[in-house]
Amino acid sequence: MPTVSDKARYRRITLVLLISPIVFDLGLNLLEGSNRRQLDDGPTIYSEAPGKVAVITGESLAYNIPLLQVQRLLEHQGLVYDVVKDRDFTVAKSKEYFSAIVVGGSQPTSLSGTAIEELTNGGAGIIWIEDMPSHLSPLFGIRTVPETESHQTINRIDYGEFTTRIFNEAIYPIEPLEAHVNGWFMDNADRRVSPAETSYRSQNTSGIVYYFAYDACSWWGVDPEYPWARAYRLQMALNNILSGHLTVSLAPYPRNLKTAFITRIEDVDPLHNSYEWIMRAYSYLEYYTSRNALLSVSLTPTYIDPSVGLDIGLEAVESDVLRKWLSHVLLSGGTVIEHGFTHQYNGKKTGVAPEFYNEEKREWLSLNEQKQRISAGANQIRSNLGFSVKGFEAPHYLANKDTYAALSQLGFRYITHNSDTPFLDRIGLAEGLVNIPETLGYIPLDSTKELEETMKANIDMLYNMSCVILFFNHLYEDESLKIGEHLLEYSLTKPMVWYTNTDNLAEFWHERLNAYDKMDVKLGRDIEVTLGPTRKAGLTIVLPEEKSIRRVHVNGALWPTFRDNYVILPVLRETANSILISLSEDEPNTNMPQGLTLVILSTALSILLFKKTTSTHHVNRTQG
Amino acid sequence: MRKDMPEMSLMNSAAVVMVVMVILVSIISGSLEYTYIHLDGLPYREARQPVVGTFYYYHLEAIIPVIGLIAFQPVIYEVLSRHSASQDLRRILAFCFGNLLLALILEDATWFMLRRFSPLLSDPLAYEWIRPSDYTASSLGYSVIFGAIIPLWYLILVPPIVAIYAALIVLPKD
Repeated sequence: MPTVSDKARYRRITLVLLISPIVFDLGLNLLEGSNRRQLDDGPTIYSEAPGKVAVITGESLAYNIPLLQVQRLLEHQGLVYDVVKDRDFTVAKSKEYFSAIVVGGSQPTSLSGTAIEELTNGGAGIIWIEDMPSHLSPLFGIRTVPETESHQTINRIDYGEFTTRIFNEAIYPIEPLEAHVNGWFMDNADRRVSPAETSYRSQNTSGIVYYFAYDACSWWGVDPEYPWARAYRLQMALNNILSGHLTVSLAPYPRNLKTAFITRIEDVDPLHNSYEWIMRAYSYLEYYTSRNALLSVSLTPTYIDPSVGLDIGLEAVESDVLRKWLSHVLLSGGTVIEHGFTHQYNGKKTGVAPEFYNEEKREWLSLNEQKQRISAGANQIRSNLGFSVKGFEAPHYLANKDTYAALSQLGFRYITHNSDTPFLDRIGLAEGLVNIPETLGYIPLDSTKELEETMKANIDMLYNMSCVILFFNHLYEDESLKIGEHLLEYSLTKPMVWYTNTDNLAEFWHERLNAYDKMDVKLGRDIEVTLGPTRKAGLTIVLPEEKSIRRVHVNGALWPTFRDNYVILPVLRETANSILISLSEDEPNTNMPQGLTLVILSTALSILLFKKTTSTHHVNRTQG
Repeated sequence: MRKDMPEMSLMNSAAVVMVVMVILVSIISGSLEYTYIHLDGLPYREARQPVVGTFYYYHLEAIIPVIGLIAFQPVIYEVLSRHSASQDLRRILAFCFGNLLLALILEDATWFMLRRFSPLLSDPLAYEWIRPSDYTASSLGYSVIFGAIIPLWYLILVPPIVAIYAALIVLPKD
């Protein structure tokens, strides 16, 4: 028989078992009221209008750069858009969009003024770039005026924080009526000539309208001081017209990172084997590696100088030290990009001439010839480094459609050129290629502190635009090594930067584009986003900053990785994937009843088993 | 009971060492999982859906078998050395089972403790404790205890763990 002390012991254990989970669970849940939080103001129901941008063009696109640049901007921002002809943009059609960008240079003369008015009155924002029919100008709070002699002296646009040059291009004189002037055309004598950019909102409920009195979509990357100033202004205008709307975008980088920082070591060839260069290269690599940053090396695998009969491949004994350094780059997570096979043609030496274009004869190599040379270079790199290159940088950035076709056929995934855009770029390339744009220039010989400061200012601008920060460094002298290190150090002071290589970014962009190409947004009680497939986790859907996501379902299943105003997505396997975002209520604690039942059962069974075991033991002991 | 047979009681120092070992292994497993098991830069739990309940393939194929091996080490020892009588073996088995359940809770909780207090730079949910949408909380529901979300499956496993350890403490040695 159990003794008195045994009974007291059982009671204590039973008490512990009882109070441990169940009492806390039930009692505190009662105290808390409910696990399900609701917003005080109840669920918001958004208008059923799809979150799309209309890009309106006329019939006479003299050249398609403005349209391409707008498309690149929108694709980089991850916004859904349609290119609509002016005559098709009717009042009924305008209801499908929550903002519009009009490419004025394409002469959209058939555009209905009523449709534009309806659009703005409905709260949608508009950006109009260049030439505007005079009857529409009052909608933008401006008046078109004839060009005067003073307009001939304009040499730049003053935006206050920076200026951007005016090149040999058309400008469109206006006078502000009620519009706010954001930037001024300036003349040689530093006088304001006329407004270059205006913004206007006619009523509190109407949308903001922007007018650019110059081609804000061209001459990107040409201004040496602020190469992306025009793209920056255009992007700021886009952000402003979208503010106040429930915009849903697909972020350009994984995990909601703001930008990517990439350093290319440029024009490396088998003759980069001097003690000084190799020491700098190791020092640079170590500096980067210790800060979790990666290098991308543009490599020309064969060096040729016919004038002295020199033909050295990566396999040469002289290249041993270079091969070892390249292996270290790869092992530290960096990558190698093919920078041509020989980076020269005919009797020229490596590095001084392009490879696929004969500058004297003005002739391109044929598709097969280009393919042969690219393939020879890739094979040489693979046989010497055991690495299959996925990226290509055409010597002197000179590439034509055949180059892209050759690269696509050979399985390359990207190029890395300066294509006058800081944005994700796939337009005009062959199927399966993207461009990782060079956006920050390079560190030339005898660089000064001023150059470093200019590059830092441009890092700021690219960072604010969420554009790739990519510069190249030849490492020809210690000064370039130092500036390169300072640029990385400067970038490290900024949050949410992806320190990656060109391969990783290209691969991510491919996956993002797969998802983006099928992107559709429906706004209702919840936000329903449809995306194509992606093999990468980390794609990010972003809502306006003031929104707070409460619950997410991916393809019908609850998804946990969201915070504030963004959702980080898993691998999406379906052809069309549904992402349901709720802003109004948390995921209900639906499985709680089953869980609670199991807690009760588990507690009861544990008590029973405990009592049975201890009493059996005592019976055995008593009988024994 | 034979003299060379280990006595399985929580008063026994061998048993205490065993419990401490299981606790350490589960904490180490949770830390290794959080620090090293990633997909595209994201902690794996934030990049994929679990295979069963709250468990991923690496739980089923590696972490649980390893923890199980350590938790059931006394049974394995007893069976291989054919030391114990069936009555003792049942008691040791119960003790090992309790260890395994404790380890499952600790492994899971460690992952979230690290996310809350020592998160990775790349973790988008850094500094967050268990959220209602985390699979560990949503699979069998959760309860809010002192403002913190506690998955109900923790509370389901606590009673048997307490009962097993309590029985081993209160039952006198044979």
